[in-house]
Amino acid sequence: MVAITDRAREILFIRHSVEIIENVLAGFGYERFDAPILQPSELFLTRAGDLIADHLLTLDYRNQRLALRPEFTSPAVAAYIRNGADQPVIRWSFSGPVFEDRPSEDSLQTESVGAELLGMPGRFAEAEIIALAGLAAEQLGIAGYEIAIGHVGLTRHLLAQFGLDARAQRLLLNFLNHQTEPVTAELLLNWLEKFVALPTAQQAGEEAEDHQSRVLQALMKTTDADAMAISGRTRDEILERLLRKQQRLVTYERLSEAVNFLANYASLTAPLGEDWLETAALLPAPDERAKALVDEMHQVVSMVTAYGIDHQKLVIKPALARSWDYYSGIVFELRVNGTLFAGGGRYDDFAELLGSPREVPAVGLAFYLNNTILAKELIEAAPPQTLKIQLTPTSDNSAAVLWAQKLRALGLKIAVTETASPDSYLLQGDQLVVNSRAYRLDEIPTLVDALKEKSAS
Amino acid sequence: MNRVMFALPSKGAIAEPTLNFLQDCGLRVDKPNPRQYIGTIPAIPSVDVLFQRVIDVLYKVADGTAKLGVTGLDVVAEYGQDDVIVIHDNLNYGHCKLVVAVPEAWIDVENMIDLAEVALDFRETKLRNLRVATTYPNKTREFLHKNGIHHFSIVAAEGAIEAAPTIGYADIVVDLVQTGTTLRENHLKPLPDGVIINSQACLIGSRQMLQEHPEAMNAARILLEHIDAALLGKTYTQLTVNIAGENAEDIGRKISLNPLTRGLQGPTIAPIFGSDSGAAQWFTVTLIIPNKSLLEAIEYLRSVGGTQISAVPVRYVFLNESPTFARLVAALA
Repeated sequence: MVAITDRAREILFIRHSVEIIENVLAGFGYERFDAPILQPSELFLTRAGDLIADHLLTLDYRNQRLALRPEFTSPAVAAYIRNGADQPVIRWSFSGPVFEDRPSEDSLQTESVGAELLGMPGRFAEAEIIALAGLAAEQLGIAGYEIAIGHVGLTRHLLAQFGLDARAQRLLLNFLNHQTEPVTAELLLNWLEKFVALPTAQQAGEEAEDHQSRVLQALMKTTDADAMAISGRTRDEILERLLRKQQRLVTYERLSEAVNFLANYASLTAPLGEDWLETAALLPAPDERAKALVDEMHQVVSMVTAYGIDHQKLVIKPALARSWDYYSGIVFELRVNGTLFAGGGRYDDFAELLGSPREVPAVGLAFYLNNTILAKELIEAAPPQTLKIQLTPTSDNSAAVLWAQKLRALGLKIAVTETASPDSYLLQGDQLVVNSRAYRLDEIPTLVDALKEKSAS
Repeated sequence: MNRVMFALPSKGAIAEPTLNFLQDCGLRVDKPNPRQYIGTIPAIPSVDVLFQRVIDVLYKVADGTAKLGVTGLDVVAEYGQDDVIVIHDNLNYGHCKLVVAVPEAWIDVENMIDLAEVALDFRETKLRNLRVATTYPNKTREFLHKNGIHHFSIVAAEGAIEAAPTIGYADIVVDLVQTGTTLRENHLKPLPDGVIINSQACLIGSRQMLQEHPEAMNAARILLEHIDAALLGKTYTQLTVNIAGENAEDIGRKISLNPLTRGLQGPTIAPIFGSDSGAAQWFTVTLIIPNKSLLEAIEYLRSVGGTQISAVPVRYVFLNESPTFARLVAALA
């Protein structure tokens, strides 16, 4: 394996990779989806919020803020729901430049390629998307990869069993998502103590309580007409949330059990073949729904292997954390020596955020070509450079055109040039010199064999 | 001789304190005309002083117009420039904090996790982002994301940030706080875990200019000699104590028994002329003592017979070399 530094070769490789991936996707009936490069920036903010806001390349046009697309999923789902949310199953593949302003990167523009499978619930869709990632990697000559499969739905369900409401789950999982250190029970308990606002020593003091109750009384007297003074929130909203917090304090013991559970669960990983109902054994109480969700992962894994993906390459990591705000079901990541090469999963809730009247079953994947360490073999297998026919002062120009057209008809890429280069072949009179031998036009089949031999060697 | 431009804050919270600080370091700044933006430091004749806003101090140093400057750590953190290095980050004045503050009426919000939940509430029930007024958009963004808050909008603002929630164009603020009075007056409260930067005044320089211009390096050395010596001096007191004993060795031994009264190197002991009273001879002992141990040291000196103890502040303590300058040389190597 080598890291490519030469930009021109990298571009060549990426185009070649995109072609291979698109071929794999086309074989599964994915049709090309294209999105305008400029779109209203809210479209992208809905998915990623300010995580992307800082990196969007935007311009203001006629009182509208437009952005260069940073990804394809949002435009694809928006296009799908524009045509009504009750469409048949749609398979879309996408490829093209995407743009982000990240100072650490060399370029504002990267190449994105991937697929969206919209309108299809169930395990078949997830298995297909995961298998596509593996099959494309194999077609690209990447052998040493590993696919980790997790389940956002399962994680949420398990946390709910401990009495963690949906809001608390999201906050906790988002916190986990942004952790750079290993997740420990201590780290999570620390979070929890702040979350339920256990009274601190200082707050336990009378003075703080007095202040709190004074503010509370003042708040009780506030009318909603004064809402502006309390900045964007009404009195009832504040009181309602205060109540929610108080309730959490009551269930603190339960919640700390939940984070202890999560600390173990987050590090759980096992290759296929182990009894994954053991995951269910971790549950606080036997639970049919959790077992069914664990079973979903099994079904997906077994279907993925039916596509010919070696089961040694599959690993189950139930707490695999991609974006918790966005995914809703099975998620996966394909890594090559630890580097992310492809990833995706189920995101059924997203369409509603974009204004769909109902949920749209959706799974998708994207390949990360630019941050991958590329396979050396693959670079060498990249399509051959254009073959050049070099004219000499004595060359017959119409003979050069004739040669070029005949070779192009055989599928070769031909350019006629006046300057010599290591990959150019000299045209002497009407004969082309390859490997010190002059070929006539009627010897083209022999010449092509000689060229193939040369490129093979 | 090549001149070295030294940029200082012209206005704002650290403008006056910077002049006072430099004066305390023996580096009085002369400003011939209050309306002009230039000045001199008589102690370093090769230096010209340029007065700029704190943010422009950073930019002038970044573009090489000034080779050295004094600004705030908050400014460097927010607008950091590749070529600017922080030479001294602990000048010990101009202390303030960049904090997240929410309306006092939000009694349910006590920390950043609460705020993250409120931001989710805004997105889900009000279908809008939490609006944050600040003049520090970069550090604010970074900090909010780190705390799991992703759906927010930065409201760019200049001055009077604290009023934004009351006026209604923002929900919360991220602002510099010195004492917290302004926040309280505007019915805002800082979140205890919402401190983004602990800031104070700092000395900055242009990496390239310092590497390429020996006269800039020399000016930095003179500045740092004064600054290090003055900052270190502030932490010491010089004690003079009269004490009777058989001889200087006897007194030296008694005083050195306690590590607190050994001074920087050891006590200086001199006989007091015409002070013989019977068998005992009187001596004057001079000692440099860390301020934090002053009373303890005095009590020990009393216990070994010390009396008439006088204490004067130490203005400078010059070590073998300026430690900060040594670090700068290493950093530029």
